[in-house]
Amino acid sequence: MEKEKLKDYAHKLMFDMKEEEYETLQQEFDIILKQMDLIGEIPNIKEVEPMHFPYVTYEAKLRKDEVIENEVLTTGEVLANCEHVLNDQVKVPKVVE
Amino acid sequence: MYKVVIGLEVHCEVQTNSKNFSSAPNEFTMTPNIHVAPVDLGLPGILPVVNEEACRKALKTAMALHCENPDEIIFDRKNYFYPDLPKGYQITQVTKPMGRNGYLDIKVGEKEKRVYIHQLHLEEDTASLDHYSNYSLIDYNRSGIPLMEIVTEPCISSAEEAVTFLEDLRDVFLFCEVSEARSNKGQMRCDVNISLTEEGSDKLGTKVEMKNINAFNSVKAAIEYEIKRQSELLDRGEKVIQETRRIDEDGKTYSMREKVDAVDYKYYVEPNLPPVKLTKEYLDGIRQTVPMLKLDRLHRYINEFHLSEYDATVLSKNKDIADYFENILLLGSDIELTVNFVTTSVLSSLKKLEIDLKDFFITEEMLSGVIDLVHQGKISLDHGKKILYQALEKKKDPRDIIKESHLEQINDEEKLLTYITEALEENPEQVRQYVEEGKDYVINYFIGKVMQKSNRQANPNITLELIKKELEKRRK
Repeated sequence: MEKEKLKDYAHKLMFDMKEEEYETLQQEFDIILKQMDLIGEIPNIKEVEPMHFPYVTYEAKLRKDEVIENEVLTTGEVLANCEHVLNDQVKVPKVVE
Repeated sequence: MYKVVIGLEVHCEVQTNSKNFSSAPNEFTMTPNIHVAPVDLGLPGILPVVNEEACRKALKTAMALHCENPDEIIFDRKNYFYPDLPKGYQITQVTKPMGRNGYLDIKVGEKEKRVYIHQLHLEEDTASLDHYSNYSLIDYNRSGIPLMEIVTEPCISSAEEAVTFLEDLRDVFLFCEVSEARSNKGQMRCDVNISLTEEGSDKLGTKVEMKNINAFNSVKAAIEYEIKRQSELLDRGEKVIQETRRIDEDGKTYSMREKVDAVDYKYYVEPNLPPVKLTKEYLDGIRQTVPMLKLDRLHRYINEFHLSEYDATVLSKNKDIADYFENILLLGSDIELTVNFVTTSVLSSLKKLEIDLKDFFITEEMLSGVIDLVHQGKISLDHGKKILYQALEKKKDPRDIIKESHLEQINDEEKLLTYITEALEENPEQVRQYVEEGKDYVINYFIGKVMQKSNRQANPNITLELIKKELEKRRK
Protein backbone atom coordinates (compact mmCIF):
# COMPACT_ATOMS: atom_id res chain seq x y z
CA MET A 1 0.00 0.00 0.00
CA GLU A 2 1.57 3.32 -1.06
CA LYS A 3 1.81 6.07 1.51
CA GLU A 4 0.11 8.55 -0.83
CA LYS A 5 -2.97 6.33 -1.02
CA LEU A 6 -3.10 6.12 2.77
CA LYS A 7 -2.81 9.90 3.00
CA ASP A 8 -5.63 10.31 0.52
CA TYR A 9 -7.87 7.94 2.54
CA ALA A 10 -6.95 9.70 5.78
CA HIS A 11 -7.84 13.02 4.17
CA LYS A 12 -11.19 11.69 3.01
CA LEU A 13 -11.91 10.37 6.50
CA MET A 14 -10.92 13.78 7.89
CA PHE A 15 -7.91 12.94 10.00
CA ASP A 16 -4.14 13.18 9.70
CA MET A 17 -1.24 11.21 11.19
CA LYS A 18 2.46 11.57 11.85
CA GLU A 19 4.88 10.21 9.22
CA GLU A 20 5.95 7.29 11.48
CA GLU A 21 2.31 6.39 12.05
CA TYR A 22 1.87 6.10 8.30
CA GLU A 23 4.85 3.76 8.19
CA THR A 24 3.35 1.55 10.93
CA LEU A 25 0.04 1.55 9.11
CA GLN A 26 1.78 0.65 5.85
CA GLN A 27 3.36 -2.40 7.54
CA GLU A 28 -0.02 -3.40 9.00
CA PHE A 29 -1.60 -3.08 5.59
CA ASP A 30 1.00 -5.39 4.08
CA ILE A 31 -0.10 -8.08 6.55
CA ILE A 32 -3.80 -7.39 5.95
CA LEU A 33 -3.38 -7.57 2.17
CA LYS A 34 -1.47 -10.85 2.45
CA GLN A 35 -4.36 -12.27 4.46
CA MET A 36 -6.74 -11.07 1.78
CA ASP A 37 -4.65 -12.89 -0.81
CA LEU A 38 -4.95 -16.05 1.26
CA ILE A 39 -8.74 -15.74 1.23
CA GLY A 40 -8.59 -15.11 -2.49
CA GLU A 41 -6.93 -18.51 -2.97
CA ILE A 42 -10.05 -20.34 -1.75
CA PRO A 43 -11.68 -21.88 -4.86
CA ASN A 44 -14.92 -20.28 -6.20
CA ILE A 45 -14.77 -17.59 -3.53
CA LYS A 46 -16.61 -15.14 -5.82
CA GLU A 47 -19.61 -17.47 -5.91
CA VAL A 48 -19.98 -17.45 -2.13
CA GLU A 49 -22.48 -14.92 -0.78
CA PRO A 50 -21.16 -12.87 2.11
CA MET A 51 -22.67 -13.93 5.40
CA HIS A 52 -23.51 -10.87 7.45
CA PHE A 53 -25.66 -12.61 10.03
CA PRO A 54 -25.71 -16.15 11.37
CA TYR A 55 -29.47 -16.70 11.45
CA VAL A 56 -32.62 -15.85 9.48
CA THR A 57 -35.45 -13.67 10.80
CA TYR A 58 -38.92 -13.17 9.39
CA GLU A 59 -41.20 -10.15 9.04
CA ALA A 60 -42.86 -10.92 12.34
CA LYS A 61 -39.73 -9.43 13.89
CA LEU A 62 -40.44 -5.98 12.46
CA ARG A 63 -41.57 -3.26 14.87
CA LYS A 64 -45.24 -2.29 15.16
CA ASP A 65 -45.79 1.29 14.03
CA GLU A 66 -46.47 2.82 17.44
CA VAL A 67 -45.23 5.90 19.21
CA ILE A 68 -43.85 5.05 22.65
CA GLU A 69 -44.01 8.28 24.59
CA ASN A 70 -41.55 7.32 27.29
CA GLU A 71 -38.89 6.64 24.66
CA VAL A 72 -39.14 10.22 23.41
CA LEU A 73 -36.59 12.59 24.90
CA THR A 74 -37.45 16.01 26.31
CA THR A 75 -35.92 18.97 24.49
CA GLY A 76 -33.65 19.42 27.50
CA GLU A 77 -32.40 15.84 27.16
CA VAL A 78 -31.87 16.24 23.41
CA LEU A 79 -29.70 19.30 23.99
CA ALA A 80 -27.96 18.07 27.18
CA ASN A 81 -24.68 17.18 25.47
CA CYS A 82 -24.45 20.31 23.33
CA GLU A 83 -21.90 22.99 23.90
CA HIS A 84 -23.92 25.69 22.12
CA VAL A 85 -27.70 25.96 22.07
CA LEU A 86 -29.93 28.66 20.59
CA ASN A 87 -33.76 28.70 20.46
CA ASP A 88 -33.96 25.05 21.56
CA GLN A 89 -31.73 24.03 18.67
CA VAL A 90 -28.15 22.84 18.41
CA LYS A 91 -25.86 25.66 17.32
CA VAL A 92 -22.92 24.65 15.12
CA PRO A 93 -20.43 26.58 12.98
CA LYS A 94 -21.72 27.19 9.48
CA VAL A 95 -19.99 24.90 7.00
CA VAL A 96 -21.91 25.69 3.81
CA GLU A 97 -21.47 28.78 1.68
CA MET B 1 -29.88 20.86 -31.68
CA TYR B 2 -29.02 18.87 -28.62
CA LYS B 3 -30.64 15.84 -27.06
CA VAL B 4 -31.66 16.48 -23.44
CA VAL B 5 -31.14 13.62 -20.97
CA ILE B 6 -32.70 13.97 -17.52
CA GLY B 7 -32.71 11.60 -14.57
CA LEU B 8 -34.58 12.32 -11.36
CA GLU B 9 -34.02 11.28 -7.76
CA VAL B 10 -37.18 11.87 -5.76
CA HIS B 11 -37.34 11.72 -1.98
CA CYS B 12 -40.69 11.25 -0.31
CA GLU B 13 -41.42 10.99 3.41
CA VAL B 14 -43.52 7.95 4.27
CA GLN B 15 -46.60 8.56 6.39
CA THR B 16 -46.37 6.49 9.57
CA ASN B 17 -47.08 7.05 13.24
CA SER B 18 -43.50 6.55 14.37
CA LYS B 19 -40.07 6.99 12.81
CA ASN B 20 -38.26 4.40 10.70
CA PHE B 21 -35.99 3.01 13.40
CA SER B 22 -37.29 4.53 16.64
CA SER B 23 -40.64 4.97 18.41
CA ALA B 24 -40.54 8.80 18.28
CA PRO B 25 -43.49 10.40 16.44
CA ASN B 26 -43.34 11.01 12.71
CA GLU B 27 -45.21 14.29 12.79
CA PHE B 28 -44.60 17.71 11.29
CA THR B 29 -44.16 20.45 13.90
CA MET B 30 -42.61 23.90 14.08
CA THR B 31 -41.42 23.36 17.69
CA PRO B 32 -37.84 22.12 17.43
CA ASN B 33 -36.39 18.98 19.03
CA ILE B 34 -39.54 17.52 20.58
CA HIS B 35 -39.88 14.34 18.47
CA VAL B 36 -36.54 12.76 19.14
CA ALA B 37 -35.62 9.33 20.58
CA PRO B 38 -32.09 8.24 21.53
CA VAL B 39 -31.79 6.19 18.29
CA ASP B 40 -32.38 9.36 16.21
CA LEU B 41 -29.42 11.01 17.93
CA GLY B 42 -27.16 7.98 17.60
CA LEU B 43 -26.75 7.79 21.36
CA PRO B 44 -24.81 4.69 22.43
CA GLY B 45 -26.39 1.62 23.99
CA ILE B 46 -29.66 1.61 22.03
CA LEU B 47 -30.32 -0.22 18.79
CA PRO B 48 -32.61 0.66 15.90
CA VAL B 49 -35.65 -1.55 15.16
CA VAL B 50 -37.30 -1.41 11.73
CA ASN B 51 -40.84 -0.02 11.43
CA GLU B 52 -43.03 -2.62 9.70
CA GLU B 53 -45.46 -0.03 8.31
CA ALA B 54 -42.65 1.94 6.63
CA CYS B 55 -41.42 -1.25 4.94
CA ARG B 56 -44.93 -2.24 3.91
CA LYS B 57 -45.60 1.18 2.36
CA ALA B 58 -42.25 1.25 0.54
CA LEU B 59 -42.88 -2.25 -0.85
CA LYS B 60 -46.42 -1.24 -1.87
CA THR B 61 -45.13 1.83 -3.73
CA ALA B 62 -42.47 -0.30 -5.43
CA MET B 63 -45.20 -2.71 -6.55
CA ALA B 64 -47.35 0.17 -7.86
CA LEU B 65 -44.30 1.25 -9.88
CA HIS B 66 -44.06 -2.28 -11.34
CA CYS B 67 -40.72 -2.98 -9.60
CA GLU B 68 -39.18 -6.33 -8.73
CA ASN B 69 -39.22 -6.80 -4.95
CA PRO B 70 -36.40 -8.33 -2.90
CA ASP B 71 -36.65 -11.65 -1.06
CA GLU B 72 -35.46 -10.04 2.15
CA ILE B 73 -35.14 -6.61 3.72
CA ILE B 74 -31.55 -5.54 4.22
CA PHE B 75 -30.32 -2.10 5.18
CA ASP B 76 -26.89 -0.60 4.54
CA ARG B 77 -24.80 2.11 6.13
CA LYS B 78 -23.88 5.17 4.13
CA ASN B 79 -21.00 6.76 6.00
CA TYR B 80 -20.60 10.51 5.92
CA PHE B 81 -19.66 13.18 8.38
CA TYR B 82 -22.19 15.98 8.77
CA PRO B 83 -24.26 17.07 11.78
CA ASP B 84 -27.62 16.37 10.10
CA LEU B 85 -27.05 12.71 11.08
CA PRO B 86 -25.21 12.55 14.40
CA LYS B 87 -24.48 8.81 14.10
CA GLY B 88 -22.02 9.60 11.31
CA TYR B 89 -23.97 7.45 8.85
CA GLN B 90 -27.38 7.15 7.28
CA ILE B 91 -29.26 3.86 7.29
CA THR B 92 -30.29 3.31 3.68
CA GLN B 93 -30.52 0.50 1.12
CA VAL B 94 -27.98 -0.40 -1.52
CA THR B 95 -27.66 -4.20 -1.45
CA LYS B 96 -31.35 -5.01 -1.85
CA PRO B 97 -33.62 -2.00 -2.35
CA MET B 98 -37.38 -2.38 -1.90
CA GLY B 99 -37.83 -2.23 -5.67
CA ARG B 100 -35.76 -2.44 -8.85
CA ASN B 101 -36.38 -2.21 -12.60
CA GLY B 102 -39.84 -0.65 -12.55
CA TYR B 103 -41.66 1.92 -14.64
CA LEU B 104 -44.40 4.51 -14.56
CA ASP B 105 -46.42 5.35 -17.67
CA ILE B 106 -47.21 9.04 -18.00
CA LYS B 107 -49.20 11.08 -20.49
CA VAL B 108 -47.52 14.20 -21.80
CA GLY B 109 -50.00 16.12 -23.95
CA GLU B 110 -51.40 13.51 -26.31
CA LYS B 111 -48.41 11.17 -26.07
CA GLU B 112 -47.86 8.37 -23.57
CA LYS B 113 -44.36 7.75 -22.29
CA ARG B 114 -42.81 5.06 -20.09
CA VAL B 115 -40.42 6.41 -17.46
CA TYR B 116 -38.16 3.62 -16.21
CA ILE B 117 -37.44 3.35 -12.50
CA HIS B 118 -33.94 2.23 -11.62
CA GLN B 119 -34.77 1.59 -7.97
CA LEU B 120 -36.85 2.52 -4.95
CA HIS B 121 -35.22 2.28 -1.55
CA LEU B 122 -36.16 3.05 2.03
CA GLU B 123 -33.91 5.14 4.24
CA GLU B 124 -34.07 7.67 7.05
CA ASP B 125 -34.48 11.41 6.66
CA THR B 126 -31.86 13.71 8.14
CA ALA B 127 -32.19 16.52 10.69
CA SER B 128 -33.04 19.93 9.24
CA LEU B 129 -30.45 22.67 9.32
CA ASP B 130 -31.18 26.39 9.15
CA HIS B 131 -28.22 28.46 8.05
CA TYR B 132 -27.58 31.96 9.39
CA SER B 133 -24.76 34.43 8.74
CA ASN B 134 -22.02 32.54 10.58
CA TYR B 135 -23.72 29.63 12.31
CA SER B 136 -26.32 26.92 11.66
CA LEU B 137 -29.10 25.60 13.88
CA ILE B 138 -30.12 21.94 13.95
CA ASP B 139 -33.55 20.54 14.65
CA TYR B 140 -33.57 16.73 15.00
CA ASN B 141 -37.35 16.26 14.65
CA ARG B 142 -36.94 15.15 11.03
CA SER B 143 -34.01 12.85 11.79
CA GLY B 144 -35.09 9.23 11.31
CA ILE B 145 -38.39 9.85 9.51
CA PRO B 146 -38.91 7.07 6.93
CA LEU B 147 -37.96 8.32 3.50
CA MET B 148 -38.37 6.63 0.13
CA GLU B 149 -35.99 7.49 -2.67
CA ILE B 150 -37.07 6.80 -6.22
CA VAL B 151 -34.33 6.93 -8.83
CA THR B 152 -35.32 7.04 -12.50
CA GLU B 153 -33.20 5.94 -15.41
CA PRO B 154 -31.87 8.86 -17.47
CA CYS B 155 -34.80 8.61 -19.89
CA ILE B 156 -36.64 11.91 -19.46
CA SER B 157 -36.14 14.39 -22.25
CA SER B 158 -37.87 17.66 -21.37
CA ALA B 159 -38.97 19.87 -18.48
CA GLU B 160 -42.60 19.06 -19.32
CA GLU B 161 -41.94 15.29 -19.09
CA ALA B 162 -40.09 15.74 -15.79
CA VAL B 163 -42.90 17.75 -14.22
CA THR B 164 -45.59 15.38 -15.51
CA PHE B 165 -43.63 12.45 -14.08
CA LEU B 166 -43.34 14.21 -10.69
CA GLU B 167 -47.05 15.03 -10.65
CA ASP B 168 -47.96 11.46 -11.56
CA LEU B 169 -45.50 10.04 -9.04
CA ARG B 170 -47.12 12.24 -6.40
CA ASP B 171 -50.46 10.72 -7.46
CA VAL B 172 -48.95 7.24 -6.98
CA PHE B 173 -48.04 8.19 -3.40
CA LEU B 174 -51.55 9.55 -2.84
CA PHE B 175 -53.33 6.65 -4.61
CA CYS B 176 -51.30 4.17 -2.53
CA GLU B 177 -51.91 6.24 0.63
CA VAL B 178 -48.24 6.06 1.59
CA SER B 179 -47.57 9.77 1.95
CA GLU B 180 -49.26 13.14 1.90
CA ALA B 181 -46.40 14.14 -0.44
CA ARG B 182 -46.74 17.85 0.30
CA SER B 183 -43.81 19.74 -1.12
CA ASN B 184 -44.54 22.82 1.05
CA LYS B 185 -43.83 20.63 4.11
CA GLY B 186 -40.69 19.26 2.47
CA GLN B 187 -42.30 15.81 2.27
CA MET B 188 -41.44 15.49 -1.42
CA ARG B 189 -38.11 16.76 -2.75
CA CYS B 190 -36.28 16.21 -5.96
CA ASP B 191 -32.73 16.12 -7.33
CA VAL B 192 -32.39 16.67 -11.07
CA ASN B 193 -29.50 15.33 -13.17
CA ILE B 194 -29.33 16.85 -16.61
CA SER B 195 -26.95 16.58 -19.53
CA LEU B 196 -27.02 17.64 -23.17
CA THR B 197 -25.57 15.62 -25.98
CA GLU B 198 -25.31 16.04 -29.75
CA GLU B 199 -28.46 14.78 -31.51
CA GLY B 200 -27.77 11.28 -32.81
CA SER B 201 -24.81 10.66 -30.51
CA ASP B 202 -24.98 7.73 -28.10
CA LYS B 203 -22.45 9.30 -25.72
CA LEU B 204 -23.88 10.97 -22.63
CA GLY B 205 -22.95 14.60 -22.06
CA THR B 206 -21.46 16.02 -18.87
CA LYS B 207 -23.91 15.67 -16.00
CA VAL B 208 -24.99 18.66 -13.95
CA GLU B 209 -26.80 17.97 -10.71
CA MET B 210 -29.39 20.20 -9.04
CA LYS B 211 -30.28 19.23 -5.50
CA ASN B 212 -33.26 19.46 -3.18
CA ILE B 213 -35.85 21.26 -5.28
CA ASN B 214 -39.22 21.33 -3.53
CA ALA B 215 -41.72 22.89 -5.92
CA PHE B 216 -42.58 21.32 -9.28
CA ASN B 217 -42.53 24.71 -11.03
CA SER B 218 -38.98 25.22 -9.74
CA VAL B 219 -38.01 21.87 -11.31
CA LYS B 220 -39.44 23.13 -14.60
CA ALA B 221 -37.66 26.49 -14.33
CA ALA B 222 -34.35 24.84 -13.36
CA ILE B 223 -34.45 22.40 -16.28
CA GLU B 224 -35.42 25.07 -18.82
CA TYR B 225 -32.68 27.36 -17.57
CA GLU B 226 -30.07 24.58 -17.67
CA ILE B 227 -31.05 23.52 -21.22
CA LYS B 228 -30.57 27.12 -22.36
CA ARG B 229 -27.32 27.62 -20.40
CA GLN B 230 -25.72 24.34 -21.51
CA SER B 231 -26.84 24.79 -25.15
CA GLU B 232 -25.23 28.22 -25.25
CA LEU B 233 -21.99 26.85 -23.77
CA LEU B 234 -21.86 24.00 -26.31
CA ASP B 235 -22.76 26.39 -29.19
CA ARG B 236 -19.72 28.47 -28.26
CA GLY B 237 -17.59 25.33 -28.26
CA GLU B 238 -17.10 25.49 -24.50
CA LYS B 239 -17.32 22.58 -22.09
CA VAL B 240 -20.03 21.93 -19.53
CA ILE B 241 -18.45 21.45 -16.10
CA GLN B 242 -19.54 18.52 -13.95
CA GLU B 243 -20.93 20.28 -10.92
CA THR B 244 -23.78 20.69 -8.47
CA ARG B 245 -25.95 23.76 -8.95
CA ARG B 246 -28.79 25.28 -6.98
CA ILE B 247 -31.82 27.14 -8.24
CA ASP B 248 -32.56 30.61 -6.93
CA GLU B 249 -35.85 32.47 -6.67
CA ASP B 250 -35.09 34.25 -9.97
CA GLY B 251 -35.41 30.87 -11.76
CA LYS B 252 -31.68 30.84 -12.60
CA THR B 253 -29.25 28.15 -11.46
CA TYR B 254 -25.97 28.95 -9.73
CA SER B 255 -22.88 26.82 -9.21
CA MET B 256 -22.54 25.38 -5.70
CA ARG B 257 -19.52 23.11 -6.07
CA GLU B 258 -17.57 21.32 -8.74
CA LYS B 259 -17.59 17.56 -8.57
CA VAL B 260 -13.92 16.63 -8.50
CA ASP B 261 -14.06 13.21 -6.98
CA ALA B 262 -17.03 10.94 -6.40
CA VAL B 263 -17.64 10.79 -2.64
CA ASP B 264 -16.87 7.36 -1.23
CA TYR B 265 -19.58 6.57 1.28
CA LYS B 266 -18.03 3.22 2.23
CA TYR B 267 -21.33 1.42 2.13
CA TYR B 268 -21.66 -1.81 4.04
CA VAL B 269 -24.51 -3.94 5.39
CA GLU B 270 -25.98 -2.38 8.55
CA PRO B 271 -24.87 -4.75 11.31
CA ASN B 272 -27.47 -3.52 13.82
CA LEU B 273 -30.40 -4.65 11.68
CA PRO B 274 -30.58 -8.36 10.91
CA PRO B 275 -32.01 -9.15 7.45
CA VAL B 276 -35.69 -9.99 7.43
CA LYS B 277 -36.92 -12.72 5.07
CA LEU B 278 -40.02 -11.78 3.11
CA THR B 279 -42.41 -14.64 2.55
CA LYS B 280 -44.48 -14.94 -0.62
CA GLU B 281 -47.66 -14.67 1.48
CA TYR B 282 -46.48 -11.41 3.01
CA LEU B 283 -45.65 -9.87 -0.37
CA ASP B 284 -48.90 -11.17 -1.90
CA GLY B 285 -50.83 -9.59 0.97
CA ILE B 286 -49.28 -6.20 0.17
CA ARG B 287 -49.79 -6.68 -3.57
CA GLN B 288 -53.53 -7.05 -3.00
CA THR B 289 -53.66 -3.55 -1.53
CA VAL B 290 -52.01 -1.86 -4.54
CA PRO B 291 -54.68 0.33 -6.15
CA MET B 292 -55.23 0.92 -9.83
CA LEU B 293 -53.25 4.00 -10.87
CA LYS B 294 -54.48 7.12 -12.62
CA LEU B 295 -53.57 6.21 -16.19
CA ASP B 296 -54.90 2.64 -15.82
CA ARG B 297 -58.19 4.05 -14.53
CA LEU B 298 -58.32 6.53 -17.41
CA HIS B 299 -57.91 3.66 -19.91
CA ARG B 300 -60.55 1.59 -18.08
CA TYR B 301 -63.08 4.44 -18.05
CA ILE B 302 -62.62 5.05 -21.77
CA ASN B 303 -62.43 1.42 -22.93
CA GLU B 304 -64.75 -0.38 -20.50
CA PHE B 305 -67.19 2.34 -19.44
CA HIS B 306 -67.09 4.16 -22.82
CA LEU B 307 -66.71 7.59 -21.19
CA SER B 308 -65.50 10.59 -23.14
CA GLU B 309 -61.79 11.35 -22.71
CA TYR B 310 -62.76 14.55 -20.91
CA ASP B 311 -65.01 12.83 -18.34
CA ALA B 312 -62.54 9.97 -17.89
CA THR B 313 -59.72 12.45 -17.20
CA VAL B 314 -61.78 14.43 -14.69
CA LEU B 315 -62.85 11.28 -12.84
CA SER B 316 -59.47 9.53 -12.76
CA LYS B 317 -57.43 12.56 -11.71
CA ASN B 318 -58.01 12.20 -8.00
CA LYS B 319 -58.08 8.85 -6.19
CA ASP B 320 -60.88 9.80 -3.80
CA ILE B 321 -63.09 11.01 -6.65
CA ALA B 322 -62.28 7.93 -8.73
CA ASP B 323 -63.07 5.62 -5.79
CA TYR B 324 -66.31 7.52 -5.08
CA PHE B 325 -67.38 7.21 -8.71
CA GLU B 326 -66.50 3.50 -8.87
CA ASN B 327 -68.24 2.76 -5.57
CA ILE B 328 -71.49 4.28 -6.88
CA LEU B 329 -71.22 2.07 -9.96
CA LEU B 330 -70.63 -0.94 -7.70
CA LEU B 331 -73.94 -0.12 -6.03
CA GLY B 332 -75.52 -0.68 -9.42
CA SER B 333 -76.28 2.89 -10.47
CA ASP B 334 -76.53 3.96 -14.09
CA ILE B 335 -73.10 4.96 -15.51
CA GLU B 336 -74.23 7.95 -17.56
CA LEU B 337 -76.17 9.51 -14.68
CA THR B 338 -73.36 8.78 -12.21
CA VAL B 339 -70.84 10.52 -14.47
CA ASN B 340 -73.24 13.45 -14.79
CA PHE B 341 -73.81 13.80 -11.03
CA VAL B 342 -70.16 13.34 -10.01
CA THR B 343 -68.58 15.56 -12.66
CA THR B 344 -71.08 18.38 -12.15
CA SER B 345 -72.90 18.48 -8.79
CA VAL B 346 -70.28 16.72 -6.65
CA LEU B 347 -67.19 18.43 -8.06
CA SER B 348 -68.80 21.90 -8.12
CA SER B 349 -69.99 21.46 -4.51
CA LEU B 350 -66.51 20.43 -3.37
CA LYS B 351 -65.07 23.48 -5.10
CA LYS B 352 -67.69 25.81 -3.71
CA LEU B 353 -67.39 24.47 -0.17
CA GLU B 354 -63.57 24.30 -0.49
CA ILE B 355 -63.47 20.82 1.02
CA ASP B 356 -62.00 17.42 0.16
CA LEU B 357 -64.19 14.45 -0.63
CA LYS B 358 -63.47 12.91 2.76
CA ASP B 359 -65.37 15.84 4.35
CA PHE B 360 -68.23 15.62 1.85
CA PHE B 361 -71.58 14.85 3.51
CA ILE B 362 -73.17 12.92 0.64
CA THR B 363 -72.03 9.30 0.79
CA GLU B 364 -71.91 6.96 -2.19
CA GLU B 365 -75.07 5.20 -0.92
CA MET B 366 -76.96 8.50 -0.64
CA LEU B 367 -76.00 9.67 -4.12
CA SER B 368 -76.65 6.24 -5.59
CA GLY B 369 -80.17 6.40 -4.10
CA VAL B 370 -80.87 9.73 -5.79
CA ILE B 371 -79.40 8.57 -9.11
CA ASP B 372 -81.55 5.44 -9.04
CA LEU B 373 -84.72 7.50 -8.52
CA VAL B 374 -83.77 9.67 -11.52
CA HIS B 375 -83.02 6.55 -13.55
CA GLN B 376 -86.40 5.01 -12.65
CA GLY B 377 -88.09 8.25 -13.76
CA LYS B 378 -89.44 8.91 -10.28
CA ILE B 379 -87.73 12.31 -10.09
CA SER B 380 -86.27 14.47 -12.83
CA LEU B 381 -82.51 15.03 -13.25
CA ASP B 382 -83.02 18.67 -12.43
CA HIS B 383 -84.87 17.77 -9.27
CA GLY B 384 -82.29 15.22 -8.26
CA LYS B 385 -79.59 17.87 -8.39
CA LYS B 386 -81.66 20.36 -6.44
CA ILE B 387 -82.30 17.76 -3.75
CA LEU B 388 -78.59 17.06 -3.55
CA TYR B 389 -77.83 20.73 -2.89
CA GLN B 390 -80.60 20.86 -0.27
CA ALA B 391 -79.19 17.74 1.40
CA LEU B 392 -75.75 19.35 1.54
CA GLU B 393 -77.17 22.51 3.01
CA LYS B 394 -79.31 20.75 5.61
CA LYS B 395 -76.80 17.91 6.17
CA LYS B 396 -79.64 15.48 5.62
CA ASP B 397 -79.90 12.23 3.66
CA PRO B 398 -81.30 13.27 0.23
CA ARG B 399 -83.47 10.14 0.17
CA ASP B 400 -85.22 11.35 3.33
CA ILE B 401 -85.75 14.80 1.79
CA ILE B 402 -87.45 13.17 -1.20
CA LYS B 403 -89.70 11.08 1.05
CA GLU B 404 -90.60 13.93 3.40
CA SER B 405 -91.41 16.50 0.74
CA HIS B 406 -93.24 13.99 -1.47
CA LEU B 407 -91.00 15.07 -4.29
CA GLU B 408 -91.27 11.89 -6.25
CA GLN B 409 -92.12 12.58 -9.84
CA ILE B 410 -95.79 12.30 -10.87
CA ASN B 411 -96.14 9.69 -13.61
CA ASP B 412 -99.82 9.02 -13.10
CA GLU B 413 -101.49 10.10 -16.36
CA GLU B 414 -104.88 10.69 -14.78
CA LYS B 415 -103.43 13.08 -12.24
CA LEU B 416 -101.38 14.83 -14.92
CA LEU B 417 -104.49 15.20 -17.10
CA THR B 418 -106.25 17.06 -14.29
CA TYR B 419 -103.44 19.64 -14.26
CA ILE B 420 -103.37 19.81 -18.08
CA THR B 421 -107.14 20.27 -18.44
CA GLU B 422 -107.06 23.03 -15.84
CA ALA B 423 -104.21 24.78 -17.61
CA LEU B 424 -105.92 24.58 -21.01
CA GLU B 425 -109.21 25.89 -19.65
CA GLU B 426 -107.51 28.79 -17.91
CA ASN B 427 -105.64 29.86 -21.05
CA PRO B 428 -108.04 29.77 -24.05
CA GLU B 429 -105.99 32.32 -26.04
CA GLN B 430 -102.93 30.05 -26.11
CA VAL B 431 -105.13 27.09 -27.06
CA ARG B 432 -106.55 29.14 -29.97
CA GLN B 433 -103.00 30.07 -31.13
CA TYR B 434 -102.11 26.36 -31.36
CA VAL B 435 -105.39 25.21 -32.91
CA GLU B 436 -105.93 28.04 -35.41
CA GLU B 437 -102.45 29.40 -36.06
CA GLY B 438 -100.40 26.21 -35.55
CA LYS B 439 -98.04 27.84 -33.06
CA ASP B 440 -96.24 24.81 -31.55
CA TYR B 441 -94.31 26.78 -28.98
CA VAL B 442 -97.39 27.16 -26.78
CA ILE B 443 -96.74 23.53 -25.79
CA ASN B 444 -93.79 24.75 -23.68
CA TYR B 445 -96.01 27.39 -22.18
CA PHE B 446 -98.41 24.69 -21.00
CA ILE B 447 -95.59 22.47 -19.70
CA GLY B 448 -94.56 25.43 -17.54
CA LYS B 449 -98.13 25.82 -16.27
CA VAL B 450 -98.42 22.11 -15.41
CA MET B 451 -95.04 22.26 -13.62
CA GLN B 452 -96.30 25.16 -11.53
CA LYS B 453 -99.51 23.36 -10.64
CA SER B 454 -97.72 20.11 -9.77
CA ASN B 455 -95.05 21.77 -7.66
CA ARG B 456 -92.52 20.76 -10.38
CA GLN B 457 -93.26 17.09 -9.80
CA ALA B 458 -94.87 16.33 -13.15
CA ASN B 459 -92.85 13.96 -15.31
CA PRO B 460 -91.88 16.31 -18.17
CA ASN B 461 -91.82 13.63 -20.88
CA ILE B 462 -95.26 12.21 -20.10
CA THR B 463 -96.66 15.75 -19.64
CA LEU B 464 -95.35 16.78 -23.07
CA GLU B 465 -97.04 13.83 -24.79
CA LEU B 466 -100.33 14.38 -22.96
CA ILE B 467 -100.41 18.13 -23.73
CA LYS B 468 -99.83 17.40 -27.41
CA LYS B 469 -102.70 14.88 -27.41
CA GLU B 470 -105.09 17.25 -25.61
CA LEU B 471 -104.30 20.16 -27.93
CA GLU B 472 -104.76 17.95 -30.99
CA LYS B 473 -108.16 16.87 -29.68
CA ARG B 474 -109.21 20.54 -29.59
CA ARG B 475 -108.08 21.08 -33.18
CA LYS B 476 -110.66 18.62 -34.48
